[in-house]
Amino acid sequence: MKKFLTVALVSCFALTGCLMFGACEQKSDYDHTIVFYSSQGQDLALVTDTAIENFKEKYPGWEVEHSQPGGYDEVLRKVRSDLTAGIQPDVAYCYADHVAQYIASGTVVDMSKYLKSAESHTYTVGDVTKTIDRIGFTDADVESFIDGYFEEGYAKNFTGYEAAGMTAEALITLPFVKSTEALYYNPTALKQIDYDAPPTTWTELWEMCKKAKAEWPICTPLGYDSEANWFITMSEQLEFGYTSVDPNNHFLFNNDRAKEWLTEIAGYYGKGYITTQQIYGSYTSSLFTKGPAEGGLVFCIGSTGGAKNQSGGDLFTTEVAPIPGVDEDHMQCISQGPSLVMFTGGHGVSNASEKEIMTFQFIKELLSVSFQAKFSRASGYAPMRTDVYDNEDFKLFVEGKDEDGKNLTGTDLIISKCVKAGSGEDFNKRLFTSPAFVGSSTAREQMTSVVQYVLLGQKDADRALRDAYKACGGK
Amino acid sequence: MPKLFKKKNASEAVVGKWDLSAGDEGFDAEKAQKREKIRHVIKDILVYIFLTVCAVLAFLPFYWMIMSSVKTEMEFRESVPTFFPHTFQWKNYWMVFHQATSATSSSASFGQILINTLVVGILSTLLGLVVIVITAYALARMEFKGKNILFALMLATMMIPGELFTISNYITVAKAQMNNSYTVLILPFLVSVYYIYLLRNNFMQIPNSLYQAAKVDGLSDMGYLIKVMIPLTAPTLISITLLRFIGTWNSYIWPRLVNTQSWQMITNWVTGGFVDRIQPTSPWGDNWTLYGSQYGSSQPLDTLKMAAVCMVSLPLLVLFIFCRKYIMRGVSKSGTKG
Amino acid sequence: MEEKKANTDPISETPPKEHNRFVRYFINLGARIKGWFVDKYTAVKDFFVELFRKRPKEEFEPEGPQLSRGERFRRGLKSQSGWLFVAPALILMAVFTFYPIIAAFIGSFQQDYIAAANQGHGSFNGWGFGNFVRVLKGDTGTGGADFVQCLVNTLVLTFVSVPLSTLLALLISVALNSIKKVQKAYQTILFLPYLTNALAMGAVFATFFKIIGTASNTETVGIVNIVLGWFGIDPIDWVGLNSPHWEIGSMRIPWAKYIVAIIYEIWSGLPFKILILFSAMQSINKQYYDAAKVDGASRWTVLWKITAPMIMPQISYLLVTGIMGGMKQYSAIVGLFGVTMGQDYDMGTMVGYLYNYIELGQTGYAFAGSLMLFVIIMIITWINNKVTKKRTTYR
Repeated sequence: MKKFLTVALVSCFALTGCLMFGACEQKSDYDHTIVFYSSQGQDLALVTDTAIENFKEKYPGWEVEHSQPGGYDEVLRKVRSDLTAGIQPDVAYCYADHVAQYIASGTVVDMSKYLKSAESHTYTVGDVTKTIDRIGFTDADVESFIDGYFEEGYAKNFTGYEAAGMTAEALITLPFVKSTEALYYNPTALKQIDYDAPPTTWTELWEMCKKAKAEWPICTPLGYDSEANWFITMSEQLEFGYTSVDPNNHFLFNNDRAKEWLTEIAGYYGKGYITTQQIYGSYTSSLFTKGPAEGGLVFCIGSTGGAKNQSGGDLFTTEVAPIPGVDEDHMQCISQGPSLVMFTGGHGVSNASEKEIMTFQFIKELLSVSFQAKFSRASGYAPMRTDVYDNEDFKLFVEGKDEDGKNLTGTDLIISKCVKAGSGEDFNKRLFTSPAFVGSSTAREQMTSVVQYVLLGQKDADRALRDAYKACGGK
Repeated sequence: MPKLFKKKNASEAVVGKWDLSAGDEGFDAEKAQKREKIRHVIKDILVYIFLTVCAVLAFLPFYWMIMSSVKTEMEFRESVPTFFPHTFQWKNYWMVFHQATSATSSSASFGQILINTLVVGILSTLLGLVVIVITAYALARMEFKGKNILFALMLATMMIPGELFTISNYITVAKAQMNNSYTVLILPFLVSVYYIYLLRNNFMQIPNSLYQAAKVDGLSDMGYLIKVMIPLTAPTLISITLLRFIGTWNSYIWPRLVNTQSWQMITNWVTGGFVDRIQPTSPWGDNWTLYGSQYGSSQPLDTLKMAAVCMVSLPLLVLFIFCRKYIMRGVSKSGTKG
Repeated sequence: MEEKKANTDPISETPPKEHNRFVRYFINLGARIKGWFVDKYTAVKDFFVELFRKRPKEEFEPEGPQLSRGERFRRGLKSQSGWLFVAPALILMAVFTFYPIIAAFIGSFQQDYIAAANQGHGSFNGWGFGNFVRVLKGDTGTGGADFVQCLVNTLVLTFVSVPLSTLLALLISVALNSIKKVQKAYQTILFLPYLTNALAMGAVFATFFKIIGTASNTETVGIVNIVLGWFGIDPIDWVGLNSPHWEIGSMRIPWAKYIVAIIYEIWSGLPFKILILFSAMQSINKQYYDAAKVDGASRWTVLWKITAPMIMPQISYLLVTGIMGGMKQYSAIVGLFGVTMGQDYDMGTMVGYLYNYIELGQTGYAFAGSLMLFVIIMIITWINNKVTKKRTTYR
């Protein structure tokens, strides 16, 4: 019997040892931990920490786990594979393209039921019991959301929501902050080649590039961070079409005018005018800050959300302008920036509906005036509610002054310029978004490849677009 | 066994044949001997040169890695790379070590990652060893119904690439709420059929008479296993332990799939980009960076990456220096990597 | 082994002169396949016969029938206590090995299966071979890696790097074996690459080949290009976007990246191979060499007539394991070319393909891909067995 016992004991020990260990290790209590995925870098994550601290203070017993899998694409990949396994986060950064794929999972929460909900909710965690007076936003809050951004989140803008049991009025995403693309330029260098103002049209830009190249043969005049954005923006400005919501004809990009444009920029690449993020191997802002004399850029077109990386330091003072257009009527500019999408039932929690409510409270925290202002000031993203702009401090900030009325310098100044450039009344008219559907993120990825292939001369425009069309499933 | 025997016969036959052909030689013995000696010396020199070149090439990446990790980025990017750094910039390591993490975000610091790797490495090695030993023992020494079928079934799974399991396992562990834990990194890899097979063969080589004797002495199965078999197969066990630990240290795919950063392993950490990030506090002053705004804070720097690579690779080299004998023996015996 | 031979014996009974070789081959094959099934059938039958056989009482009760029923039961249980020892391994394997195999088989036939859909219950468009067709055609509509491209990459990398590194390992082992001084030191240094982390060292190798800077202002072209420059060769963008490649139909043959990957694989594969071959050489009976020495044989003769035949099993073992490992490579590629495995997955491998589709959420395609990887590995194993068997029988 002794032998039998020993054997039993050892086997049990071996097997349960790990299980016990699993129980002992500090495991997140997902019932009371809100999981938030974002693509924020470390600096912005530190800003978000303040929102998380606020939230934890307001709602003791609840935790927030903020995870940054990487860039937008990594967030998409992570959420997608998490959904496969049922461990989706509670709230995540998203582009509209991404959400189209998430909807089919049936775990995306329709936030319209919480948006203005005046109901209260009482929760108990351990020995803490607390009542939330109002689950939703006040009417004044909702009033202050910038309409255009807010409208993007309704289900009618996405495909496939019916299959997931939602109506066209369901609110699938809430905008978090908004960015656009801006033209960062080096005024010192521009002056040196006898220009005072930044280019407003592409023709002007190419003209300046030519001069810059002649002045500094080792420089690359223009760096465009996002190849896909470039294509999509030009598809608006030149009206050649990119994608449509029509399920029978989603992909329009394979057309002659697109080919024409691609061939044109390939020519400029050949002259050494252009580099992009993929071709250079990292954000072109690092080239921009070097200055053209050291082989850097004169112009850098990048997201306003990346403003803090564009500082010329002691070398020059970075200026910000809207991106060039084709002509006065075709100055469209892409509107992007992360929205928030909410999932339910991740990690198989038992209190899914309560957690939804608490997740919404966290979203409220992220959309609060104070945090929106703080985040915007740290990043260059534009806040998504109008009352932030009414805030006195923020007004000063947009004007390039700090709280004491002193002029901003360095990174802060560039951010302030970006926020200003990205939030003006006239500017909002130029913004556009591209339709979101299952496969629209594939189309986006393919555009990155198309621009790359054509610039590098690995494929001609015709071939590149045809291949991309095929890779998208060609429907 | 019979195969080997056959081989020996075959080569003996070959030797014999060649014996005959080599029979008629031998004149002017002294001269020939001298020439032979010179030829031998030349050959020796050539062999040493060849080996030295190979050894240098084998070691070059390590040298490059270590030297690059202490160069400045400017020096690293010089059009003609320097073989030995002009200036040693140990601050690279400080910067990599402090690719800082915010308080609540789950992106991980090096310390956290190192703890993860050590905990998982040690636990999975030890628990795995227990499972392997008792299973191998049962398969080698004990009699029970269906033993052979079971063993055959286990061996059959060795034919199937482990990647086939990954997808389902990923879903399984998620459904069992095991994500973001150490358990999920340990449990699926506890059983290693190959090591069971190896150890079973090792156990089988221990003469049965020993077992009978132990039984007569009143030793239980467990007692026999612990007191006799484990000491006898200790070298193999040590090798398995080391190889498993190295395997865990190098694991990348599974942690990346199932866990978020703060629960991942050291190899996952090293794949991230390392940039010249502004450090709010440092021994060299507040808001300190390595190069000011020269490379910005968005461009991954190769020198920092090399420093990170060093931090991951050097512990293994140290382990190797101390356990060279066991690792090399284990590898030559087991023939698997990790 | 013995049994198999016995079962395939009938082949030799077929009259050899009545058919030509071609027909005979198929008759052989048929008999062999039949033999294989007969084999399995006998094994299974024996197993069940054994299972349900009424055992003579002595087997359970060596001490006579006077034991109580409880005691008898306990003893019966005790004789099966081996199961207790294997239980942990068995349970773990049931969950993490056997179940996934079944799940993969089922999942790969569920067309367009997406496990994430429908609140984690999954959705699919009926049963069939749809997944396989789409995977093979590259018609997944997700912009993910292309299966055929991944397959070609994997095969090229494996079948170039494994023989090359084995040959090189053989040369080095012979050289090591022929020296007497500082043998240990060389051996140790040559073994170092074994311990490395594929991802980390991949990144180091990438810096050898990487061109840093823009087209107009190249900062450094990397060591390899500098060395090639001494011979008048223009810098090549080995690992970057401008990496030279050939195109065959819709497929890319990124030869420059192949070279980089192959060099890395050789470097990282050598230590293991040297270790195996060298220890095999060391264990060859010294008498053969002494005999050869007495006869004044040259080193080459000794090498080809004694050493090579003696270590043939090790060489074939290395080739087999090398090819198996090569078919599953992934981390090294990530280390060298990043998570997207080159440009548009043009350096994708089979395993990389699986992970790509897991991340794309296309579970069905991933399953189908994994099943095909399995089949390909089985085919290679089978060919390997054939070849090695032939070699051993003809020697």
